[in-house]
Amino acid sequence: MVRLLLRPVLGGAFTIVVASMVIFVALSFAPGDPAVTLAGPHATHDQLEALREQLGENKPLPERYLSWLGGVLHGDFGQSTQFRQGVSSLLTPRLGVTAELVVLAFLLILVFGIGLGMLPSVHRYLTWPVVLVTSLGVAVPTFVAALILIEIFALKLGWFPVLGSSSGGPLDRLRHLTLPAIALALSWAAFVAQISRASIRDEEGREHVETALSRGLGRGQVFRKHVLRNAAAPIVTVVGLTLAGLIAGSIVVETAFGIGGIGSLLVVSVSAKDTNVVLAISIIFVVAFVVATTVADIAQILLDPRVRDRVGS
Amino acid sequence: MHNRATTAQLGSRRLALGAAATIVALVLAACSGSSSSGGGGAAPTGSSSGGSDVVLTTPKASGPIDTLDWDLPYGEPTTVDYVKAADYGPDMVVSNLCDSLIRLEPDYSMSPNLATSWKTSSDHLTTTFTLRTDVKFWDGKPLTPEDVAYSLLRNLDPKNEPVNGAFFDHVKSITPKGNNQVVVRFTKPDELFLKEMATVAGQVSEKAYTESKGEKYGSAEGGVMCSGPFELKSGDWKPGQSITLTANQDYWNPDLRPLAGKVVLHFISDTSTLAQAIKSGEIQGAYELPPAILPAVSQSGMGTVYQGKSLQVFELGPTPGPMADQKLRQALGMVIDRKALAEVVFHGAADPNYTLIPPPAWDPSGLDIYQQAYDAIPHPDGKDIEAAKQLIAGDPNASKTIVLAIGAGNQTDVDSATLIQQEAAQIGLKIQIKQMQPLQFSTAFFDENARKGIDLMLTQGWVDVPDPLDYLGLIVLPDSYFNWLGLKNQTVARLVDKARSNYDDQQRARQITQAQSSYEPTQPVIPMLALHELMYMSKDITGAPASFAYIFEPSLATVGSAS
Repeated sequence: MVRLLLRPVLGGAFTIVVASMVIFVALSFAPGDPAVTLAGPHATHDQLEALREQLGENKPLPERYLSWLGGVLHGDFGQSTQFRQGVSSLLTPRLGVTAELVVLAFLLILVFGIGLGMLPSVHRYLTWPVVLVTSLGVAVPTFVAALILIEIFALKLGWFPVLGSSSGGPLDRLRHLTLPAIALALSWAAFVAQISRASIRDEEGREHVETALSRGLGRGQVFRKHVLRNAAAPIVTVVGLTLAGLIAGSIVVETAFGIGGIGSLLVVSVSAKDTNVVLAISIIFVVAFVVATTVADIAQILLDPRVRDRVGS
Repeated sequence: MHNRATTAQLGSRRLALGAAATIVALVLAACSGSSSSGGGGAAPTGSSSGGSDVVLTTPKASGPIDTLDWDLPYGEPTTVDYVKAADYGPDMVVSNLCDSLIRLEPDYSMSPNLATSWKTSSDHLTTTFTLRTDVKFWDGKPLTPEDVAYSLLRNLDPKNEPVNGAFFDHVKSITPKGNNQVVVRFTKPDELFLKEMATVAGQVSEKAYTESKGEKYGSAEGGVMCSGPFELKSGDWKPGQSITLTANQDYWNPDLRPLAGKVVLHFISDTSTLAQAIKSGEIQGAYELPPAILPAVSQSGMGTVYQGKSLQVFELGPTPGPMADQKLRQALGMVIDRKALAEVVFHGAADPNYTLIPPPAWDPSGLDIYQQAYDAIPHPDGKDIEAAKQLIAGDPNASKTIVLAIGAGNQTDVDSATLIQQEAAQIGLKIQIKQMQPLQFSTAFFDENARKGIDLMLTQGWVDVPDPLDYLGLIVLPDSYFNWLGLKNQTVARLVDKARSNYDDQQRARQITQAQSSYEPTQPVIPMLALHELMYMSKDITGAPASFAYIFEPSLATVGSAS
């Protein structure tokens, strides 16, 4: 098990270093100078130079990168040039908001994605409706889903608010986050439903399933013990990937619903060339991705004895 | 989906800031319809001097409300330190929290605030402010002359990244005197200083608190400590979410004790989201409503959009290259149809403007003089194509392609630039539109290198107070920051310098208009529009000032129930 976890941890660390390097270099070449805009029109040449020095803009790129990396290893993600605040304190409250949104969307995907995928096996006549609905769902871009959901459920019916952010209690937050979570989950849920449907259909056609049925075992029992268990492996993999995709998708949804999470902060920070914030958020994305895929891998091993044997040997 | 970049923290408001405004609204749902919309039936309580149908205030509120949901212009503020406040959002928040020495009223007149009176010596080298003695900070400590002197001096220390340092150029010293006075001494008389004391430059914070917070003062972590009608309690600036202001029930000025118990300031950065939140009633009010959603919001039936008097301008800033050719600037200025631009792109929320200083920014005590000078300046309306053609006939610069820079994704900018491009084509000028990323665009306002390859910058700016000197110093002096062409007009420099030291309003107006007749023919900028303030309030509330003066006023204190 230790060996099992070592690989993703090392791989994740490697990914973070490479990704941060790429982002660092890319941002340093992006046009625009934060010092010039921070200093204002009345700054003298000396004041501007002092500010550049303070922001570390004058140092060579490798030195700047290493000093940033050194800081991160000590838990210091630096200062936001835009908000004049420590990156950690800037991100902490926003991270919670994004986490709530992603978890809610993930639950919706689990329930509706897998549920819809199983539905045709339980009720054959629902096959075509499910195929139709999921095809539509996969095809709708997140921002279109957001607009339609707001138009219908917030403006026409008034069931939910337009704005996704709320400073009220848990129930109020849930009410505000429902539409954003649906918008975020929609295409992923449809995708998971399609994968589940395909996976279940494959398993249903297997010889041992038909044998079990012909021996007179109950349909429900066969479905649970033989079909669903074997079909679960690919579903778990996809669901794992979904979690990573949701975090990236939060950028669009947060902007559309006026939610102040790390996704919308990323947009603002890239525009303002707020390098430390962009790097910190990118690292969060990479870590989330690595964790999600690792968890999916481990679940895979637990579910499938064949994989377990392969890893074990 | 329209992504919207938030304002880059620009060093100065006015021109620069305007740049941010332009940049910022990366959004603006594309509305190319040309319907115009006015104030929707509510009876305005003010009259205007600025334009056709603009107002100054809105009907007085009839009673208190528990909570007010208001949207801040252009997203989350990056600071609420008055010394660094250089943008719509920061200025609006800090002006509801902190008191300035002098108060700017919705009609742009000035009245006593923290200072009950002020006296300037006959040589104009000393101004003594007499302060109220009954003012307390939110923590209960009394406001002292030391606090005032300290707060003003913060504008002079580069470590604080001050954006209004230029207004303190002539200041020699600021010292507390006795238990209720502050004395400002000048190296040279400065008539603008007093007026700027009605803006964020004249605001006061508690010395002990400010010093204890150091660099964090004005951030979400550090907060502020002021004496204004609203209080910012610890933890009420939730980064990314909202800023909640709590009514200061002990506010020293009973007329401005807030009607709303709490104000939740939202940071909606997407224009279509703002339109939807207004339609659903979640947002009750907003300043700087993007012109693109004006028709949709007006037609929603949820409330009223007011067009208020504003000191904001919309203009073209020329940079070295073909536009250094004065004839080209004049010719382009002649073919721009300002009325069409105001109607089509701004949905009627703007007036044509023909000078660097828009009429609403004239000094009220010299109106006749300014009006006379304004009338003497040509008012081209885009019709005299032949004259413009003749002006540039045979000019080698006229065949060069002119690059017009605008903020990426800003629909108002895109529509305006497209209109200008078509009009320029009528006289054979080729304009190429270049969309720039927000920070790249704002950097171009400050950094010469970033302007390489650009010939014109589409600019939205503002004037703080109705005094042309507030804006002139930034553009027409040989060493002005935004004098990109490097025009060296010594006559103008001499007149502007004299005017700033001249306390006689009429004489000063003559000096300024004389300078105007010297710089205006050279077109240091190509003026296009004087913008109106666009402010929305839902049906259930009223009382906010409608004019752009809101930016330096406790604008939300008077907002309350409409019925």
